[in-house]
Amino acid sequence: MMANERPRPTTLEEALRALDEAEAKLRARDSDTGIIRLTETVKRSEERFRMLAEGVPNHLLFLDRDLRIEFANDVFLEAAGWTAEKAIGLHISEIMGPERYLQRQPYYERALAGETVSYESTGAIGNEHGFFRFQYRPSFDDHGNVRGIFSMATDITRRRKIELELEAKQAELLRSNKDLEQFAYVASHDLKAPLRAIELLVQWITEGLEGYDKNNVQENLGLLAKRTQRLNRLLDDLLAYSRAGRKVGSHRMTDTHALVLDVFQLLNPPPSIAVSIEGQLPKFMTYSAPLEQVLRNLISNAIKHHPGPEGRVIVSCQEQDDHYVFAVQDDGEGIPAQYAERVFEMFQTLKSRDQVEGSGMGLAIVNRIVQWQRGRVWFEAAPGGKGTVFKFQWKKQQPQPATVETKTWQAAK
Amino acid sequence: MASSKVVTILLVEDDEIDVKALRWAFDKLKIANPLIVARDGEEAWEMLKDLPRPYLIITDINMPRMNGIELLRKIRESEQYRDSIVFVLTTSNDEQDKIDAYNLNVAGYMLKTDMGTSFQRAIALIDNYWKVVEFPGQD
Repeated sequence: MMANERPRPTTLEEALRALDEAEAKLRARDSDTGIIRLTETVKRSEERFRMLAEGVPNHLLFLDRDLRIEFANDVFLEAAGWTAEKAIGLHISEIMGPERYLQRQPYYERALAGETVSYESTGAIGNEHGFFRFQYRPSFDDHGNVRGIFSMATDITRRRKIELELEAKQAELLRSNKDLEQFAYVASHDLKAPLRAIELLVQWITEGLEGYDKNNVQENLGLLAKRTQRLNRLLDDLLAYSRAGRKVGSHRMTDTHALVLDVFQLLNPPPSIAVSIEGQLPKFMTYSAPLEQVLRNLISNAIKHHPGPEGRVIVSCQEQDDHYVFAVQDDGEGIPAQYAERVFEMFQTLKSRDQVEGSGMGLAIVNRIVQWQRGRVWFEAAPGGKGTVFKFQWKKQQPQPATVETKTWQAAK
Repeated sequence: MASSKVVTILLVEDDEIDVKALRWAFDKLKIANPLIVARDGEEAWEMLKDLPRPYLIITDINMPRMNGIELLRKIRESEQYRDSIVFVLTTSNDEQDKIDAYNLNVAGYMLKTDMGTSFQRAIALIDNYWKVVEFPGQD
């Protein structure tokens, strides 16, 4: 081919020169194809990278050493509502704002120092409340220096939500296990005690009848009736306790002022005990049945345990951020601070049941309902030093009932 | 030898029928020792001050304010009363209560399972106990 284009070499020197030229040309052509090949490889891998970058649901950025955007994928641009032109060259702090940038700066610095950094946090562009997993991976040049960072944000809001639900369920399970343990313990004492007493009373009555000791029989029959009532009440209150925070009824507009007045009427305190409301109690949307139960138990306790002869019970309420604090104050005997925790436990009474008839469940029920709606209940010495104030937080926003109502099975007809 | 002085019984029990049952068992067994009743651990602790020696304590576990285990702990920690002889007479069949009670050196842990024969036997045992066993601090 070459030989045809140019005159045949006449000398050896000419031949050698021609050979050199051809070789050089050949070399040039080779290196051309090399570059072309290289360019194609680069193009292909860039295409692959783009497909990957656009295909994933994550936010992907490449930031240079100064944390300016060199590349941003569509997911990111869409979330930000920007065009690529607008995003490229922006500093990362201009995207997230100075406050969040200050929080995340240490992570960027670690990545710029050559470390792959990952962490989880709320808020990414376009989704301030979502929960994200961030990863910063340094990119190195030929000399091993960091030339920039690949930044990736993955939306894990759903996973996080499930995790939180799982944690809540686990806590609920632990609590209910503890309840069950406590129940098994008290059932063996507090429920058995009246039963055993009944057994005994029957024995005495029988002996009394055999000996015709009428007075003793009468007295023992009275005690028998009292013990049967006590057992009944223990079982009722136990049922109320197990339902606390489960069967919560309807969520509706509740006038707590009218509700407390109703409770006063229902409890029908003796005339020597004056019950009253201080100020106006609020009206708001809530589950009224559990709130009424809490107020009823506290007011009934204040009346029942009052040593007399004259007493006052005052109900009041204060609004605080996301909740109300209701207070039930009496001017009774007061409760020593050392019993602060015990009074809220199951079947705990500060007096024997023979002195003041009571199941010891009232405050346990209060505690359980108040905790169900993530509030707190406690007592303080009443101002002035005489009596007790029970206070509890009632949230303005109520959680869902603790468990799904069990299905009602239709009886086969 | 056996007590020259009469042993006083301090019964710590919040249930009036159980108190009655104990008196009834004492009657049946013709035990005439003085019997003092405290309604809970707190009251018992107060009464210890004036309790004539020799004495013997029979305590329930589940009670208002201060329960039997808490009372026992308080007794064992005190310089003055740590040598007290204490029986537990309770409905609690809980293993932890038994362990706690024996760790606090009770003389015996008895169940009030049924108040008939086994209850009488428990009282008979306590009765024999003070007749045979030497009590501290009698002189």
